[in-house]
Amino acid sequence: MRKKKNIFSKLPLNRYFDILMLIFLTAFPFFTKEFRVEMMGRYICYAIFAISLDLLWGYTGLLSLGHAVLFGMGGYMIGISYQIQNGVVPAFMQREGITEIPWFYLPLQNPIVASILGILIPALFAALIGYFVFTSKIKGVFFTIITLALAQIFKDFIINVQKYTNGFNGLQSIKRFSVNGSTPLTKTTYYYVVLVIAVLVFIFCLWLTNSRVGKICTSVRENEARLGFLGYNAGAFKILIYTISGALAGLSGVLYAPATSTITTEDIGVTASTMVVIWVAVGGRGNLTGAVFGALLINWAQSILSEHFSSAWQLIIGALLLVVIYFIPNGVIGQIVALQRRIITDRKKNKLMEETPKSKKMAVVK
Amino acid sequence: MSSVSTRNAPDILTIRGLTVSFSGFRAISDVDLDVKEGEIHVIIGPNGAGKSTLMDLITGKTKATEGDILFKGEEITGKDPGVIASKYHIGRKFQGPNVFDNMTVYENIEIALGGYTSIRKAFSYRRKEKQKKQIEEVLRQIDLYDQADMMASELAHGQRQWLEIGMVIAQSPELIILDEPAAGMTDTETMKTGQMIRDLSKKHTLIVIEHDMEFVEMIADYVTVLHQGRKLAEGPFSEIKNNKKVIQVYLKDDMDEEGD
Repeated sequence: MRKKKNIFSKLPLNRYFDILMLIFLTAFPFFTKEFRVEMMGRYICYAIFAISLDLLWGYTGLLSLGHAVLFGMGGYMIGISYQIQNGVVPAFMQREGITEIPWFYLPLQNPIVASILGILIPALFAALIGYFVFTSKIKGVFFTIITLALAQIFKDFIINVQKYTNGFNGLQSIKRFSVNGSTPLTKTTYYYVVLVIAVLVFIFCLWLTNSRVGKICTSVRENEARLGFLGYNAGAFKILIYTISGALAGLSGVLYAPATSTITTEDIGVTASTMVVIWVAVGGRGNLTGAVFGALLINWAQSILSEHFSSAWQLIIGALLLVVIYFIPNGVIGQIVALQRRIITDRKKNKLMEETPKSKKMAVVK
Repeated sequence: MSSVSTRNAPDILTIRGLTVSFSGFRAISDVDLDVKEGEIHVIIGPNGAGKSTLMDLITGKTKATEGDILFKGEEITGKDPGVIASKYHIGRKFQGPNVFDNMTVYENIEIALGGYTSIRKAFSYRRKEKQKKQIEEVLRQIDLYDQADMMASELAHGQRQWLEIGMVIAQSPELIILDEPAAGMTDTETMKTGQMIRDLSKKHTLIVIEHDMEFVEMIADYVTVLHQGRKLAEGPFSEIKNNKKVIQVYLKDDMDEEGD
């Protein structure tokens, strides 16, 4: 059974796909214009964001409709950091009569500290929400509803504390990691920084989902009640995975804001949270590849379509979504994985039938 | 039948005056029960007798209204299912296969493996020779060794029942509760399940809920009969078979059902 005669016949097809995507993304800057590179860099940030949701939704079965809150926290941390460099009080604060940088923003002056906080704070926030939701009797769809409400509340909050966040104007001129006034990274260098981090995140998630902890999370998705009777405290594992997911969502936000140089309330609300759900749904849940592929494909399609059909592109994307969800509910990559699985199983079943002695087979038939 | 010898063993589970009512309806009413170490204790009774409710009470799924449940003399009444499973080593197989469908047979057993249920232990878990051996042994016991790579959802009904029995074994519990393990099985599969249960009783104590009288006769060391939430009779199968009250209530009901 565990003898690995040919390791490649066992490897799921989507792992080859991962390698193809990596080769494509690595070579991408060599055959395209710089603004395309910048675009793709942004989509790689989205891919990390999608992976973070896949851990939660695809693997653990917890659908969050407010994941952009965690993404936004990361983005705003680094965004604020570049508004207050060198002790300058930004214009939007001065308009409100603030003459000194508020004390709670002081640590953010250092972009490195801001980046770390951009990962830690969403992680802590997720842990806190997770604690209240998963240790209470709240089950299933109610988690989704709570996260949806959070997305709206968080967006309203950011808009309302305008004197600290510049409201729905958002934050601009976020530098690509210039520390202490050093020159920001070039667009292409930054692209590769993001790509390397994305690969590390991917490898970490691959390890995590194949570890016992990951398998326990999958069991939560499959049959939470059964897990309880095996002696597990499912709630603790749900809090854990939500926290990890929060940290990764925060990280994607930290990387995203410098890639596009702005972060606004458009990036953090219900709409943004819905978009990431769509990417993962189209790409395919629970195999990581699908999340990455979905994020890259839909965003790329969206921008190409909007360039050519400035008014009808949203309709085209919508129609595409309906087609995918109706005909391949597992998502594009999910469908490929399922198909391969079916072929292997059928082969195995046939083999087992052949090996069964005739007499035994008769008994089974009877 | 080894009923005589097992009844002299100490109690592994002692139940006294157990009562539970759901908005006035008493599903279990003043039940006493002694399960001896090493025996196969079968609980029978017509539909609605309270068999599954009694198991829900033991495993912590339902909280008792009154009465005590003692595991080796220690009070477990009202404790959480996770605690009862991991601390007191009571494993339960539910009615109808209750497994992790979209995971492989191997993964199902691996997750069930006892002793790695906390987050810290789960992170430090490594699949070494010892664990592999343990998992493979369980797979052989339930005859699913060749199906290890298959998804649980791809198995036949009987095999799924065995897989859940395997998950319970992997927990290495002292007391195993099986709720209708042979339900929906073919004759061949039922025979195999009976053999599996007899083999299990060499290492574990078992409480089995069952309907099929032939199957009960095959496995039971001791039988308790429930009727309308109360204990009607108890004793070795040979006695129960001839107990007038039981025949009247249970077997008659059974005949009526068959007559319909």
